[in-house]
Amino acid sequence: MLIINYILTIYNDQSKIYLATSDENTIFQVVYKVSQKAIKNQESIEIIDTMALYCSENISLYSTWNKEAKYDALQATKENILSKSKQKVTTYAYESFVSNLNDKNNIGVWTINWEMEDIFKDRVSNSATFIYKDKDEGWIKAVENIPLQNWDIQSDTMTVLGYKCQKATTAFWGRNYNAWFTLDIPLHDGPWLFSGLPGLILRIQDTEGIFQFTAVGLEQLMTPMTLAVDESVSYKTVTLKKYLALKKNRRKSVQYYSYENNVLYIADIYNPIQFESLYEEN
Amino acid sequence: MNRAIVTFTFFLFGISCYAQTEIKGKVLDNKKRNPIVAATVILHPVGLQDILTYGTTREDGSFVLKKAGLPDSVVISVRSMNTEPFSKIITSNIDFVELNVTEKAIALNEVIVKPVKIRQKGDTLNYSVSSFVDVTDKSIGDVLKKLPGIQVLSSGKILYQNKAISKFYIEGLDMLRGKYGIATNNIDASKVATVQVLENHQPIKVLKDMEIPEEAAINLKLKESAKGAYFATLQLGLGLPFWLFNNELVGMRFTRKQQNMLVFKDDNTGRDIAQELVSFYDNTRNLGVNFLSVSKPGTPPINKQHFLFNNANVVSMNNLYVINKDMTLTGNVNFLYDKQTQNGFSERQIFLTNGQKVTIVEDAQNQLLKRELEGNLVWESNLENKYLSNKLRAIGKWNNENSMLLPSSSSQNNQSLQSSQINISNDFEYMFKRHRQQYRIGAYAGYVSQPVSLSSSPSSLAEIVMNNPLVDSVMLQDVRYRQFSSNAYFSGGFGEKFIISH
Repeated sequence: MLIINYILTIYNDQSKIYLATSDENTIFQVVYKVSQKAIKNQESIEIIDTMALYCSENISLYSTWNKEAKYDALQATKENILSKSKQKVTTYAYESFVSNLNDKNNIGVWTINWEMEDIFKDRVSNSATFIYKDKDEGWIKAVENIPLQNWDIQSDTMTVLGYKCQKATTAFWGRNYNAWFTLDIPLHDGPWLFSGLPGLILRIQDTEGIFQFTAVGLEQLMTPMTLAVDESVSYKTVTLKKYLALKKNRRKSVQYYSYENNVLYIADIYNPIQFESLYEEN
Repeated sequence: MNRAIVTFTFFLFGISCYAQTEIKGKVLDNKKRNPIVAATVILHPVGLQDILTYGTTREDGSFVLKKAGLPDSVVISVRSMNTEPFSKIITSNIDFVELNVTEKAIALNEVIVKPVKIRQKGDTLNYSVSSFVDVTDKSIGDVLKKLPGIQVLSSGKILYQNKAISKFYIEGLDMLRGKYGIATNNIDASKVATVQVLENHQPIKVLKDMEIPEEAAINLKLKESAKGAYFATLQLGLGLPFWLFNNELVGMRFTRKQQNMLVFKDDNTGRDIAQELVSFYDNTRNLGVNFLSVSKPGTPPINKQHFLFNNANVVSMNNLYVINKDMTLTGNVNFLYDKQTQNGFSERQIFLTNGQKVTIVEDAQNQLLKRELEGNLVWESNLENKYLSNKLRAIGKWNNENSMLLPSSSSQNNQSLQSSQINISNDFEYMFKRHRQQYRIGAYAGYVSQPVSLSSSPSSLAEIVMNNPLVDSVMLQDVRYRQFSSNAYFSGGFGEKFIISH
């Protein structure tokens, strides 16, 4: 028996028709462990996140890894908190927040400990698109031409994930970086805004030792995926400067919450953790 | 001052003239001569791994390499994700070089990292679909089969820890009312983020903490990208022998306020698409009685798809509206048209000790025509202290079944069964809670009308009665069954319980 199937999927919201064909560009996924030194109450701590780089021929996306599940967990926590409360009391000082509570042991911290930003890098136009959902402003987008990093390739080698890597150094936006790339994976990409080496960057760190990106996973994705900005969402387009200011502002505060007798108590206070940003000093 | 500037300009000019070597070139596939895009082109010193300079190819496969002070000959190498590594020695004063490479997807050593597959939070188990899905999985039903603890029977029924699930939700809403085969067969696995198993699930909020059922429920959490969008999938299949077809048109939309699913299927390849319309909630009562039947050939012990010769059409329309947070209105209309033919032949020979032989032949041709229409309208209000539901349901069935025994012999026997059914019922339920006491009021009314007639010819019984071999004898059986039943109850908690029903 011979059966010929034509599968046609229509996404009405975007008024676009995608034909799912088998020879769609394969997408290569690199998972990076991203660690960052930060200071909390005068103590040095390390913040770790897992990011994914999705590479196609000309466009790559750098976004938090396993995003659906992370959003899901976030949504579940939010729904859980809201379902238990009929009234909301917000305070802006931790002391007055605590004084409202009878049970001081049942305090949760409402933080998002993963990077919510998506960065699309376009190799042809040499631009980057930054996308982020701000609590007050909604979806914001910034498109910026990114200066190419000038890499100085050195002869040192190191093995990362079983790949022989070569060292390269660059100065970018106020920091100096040491990168390790491999010629065996001929993708000109890397985590965050790093790109332009003759092979994939598997490890990169700044010379002060604050930021470090290390590849922990490499995979050729079998499920077709389109690397493009989701046009079904309406974005507020801002300058990169404004965009970074909004993002920075968001990290300044942290929310503690607790519920008692159907009342949700929230303390919206300064984040005790002091971060440095990859974007600062540019 | 003037002289100084002039000198400086000359100096710069001198540099660019003397040392900047520029090598232009193109990378092409050596068979079709297509340009290779985004390939890395690197210059190495001969015999060394050092990188002198590098570049990438553009959309037309071209590249430009610039470098001061190159040795006389260099190795130029090309690497890309879909070509074999290529290198050759060139002289560095060459202006243009064409590099012909062999197209081949390169295999990389993958290091696969997997997210946590199952998360448990209270009574809810979350299975992350992306960690269980693979390329061969089309619908979410394919993924469900792989989840630990979940079992999908060949009928489509879902079991969790060997118990049938009590509810099947999509985004927390029960649109399909037990006919969840429509969802498991038609919702694309790539649209579902998480499959949740809600253990000891109590769907009625009033009964929460009062009655804890053993059964679990399943909830599909869709991906953010799948929420609110219209999805339409059209699948056309045509096959041989002349003509096998399986056509599907599925449309769906899930939002916070409403859910819709429309399924239209048309199939004669032996896939039992009628199965999608089977309800797996056992809340059906008063479904009528089977009075008469015709003889049927036995079921062979092979996969149903290989002996089912049918021509089936299925239409299923399902809509759910969220009136407010706790109130929903659900409407379902399902129609099935199924024409099946069966031919059965079996011969058994028994050799007796006295040399005689007894041959038993069974030869039958059956034709079955099913036309079934079902409509459901459910209004449900599910609050913390009060539960109200009203289910209105109407079923119409018009079925014909013909059976011909020994079609090729003189003792041919024809049987024909015509059965139809009209079934209308309304089920009302009200529950409320006051001071931890629970009260229930319910009313049910249902009407079934079921005329059935069976004719059989020739009838041996008729021959005896008529005693006239010249007349064609036909036996006719007619059953008319009508039933109306209603019942109402109230149960309250003064330690006493009384039930009124008639």
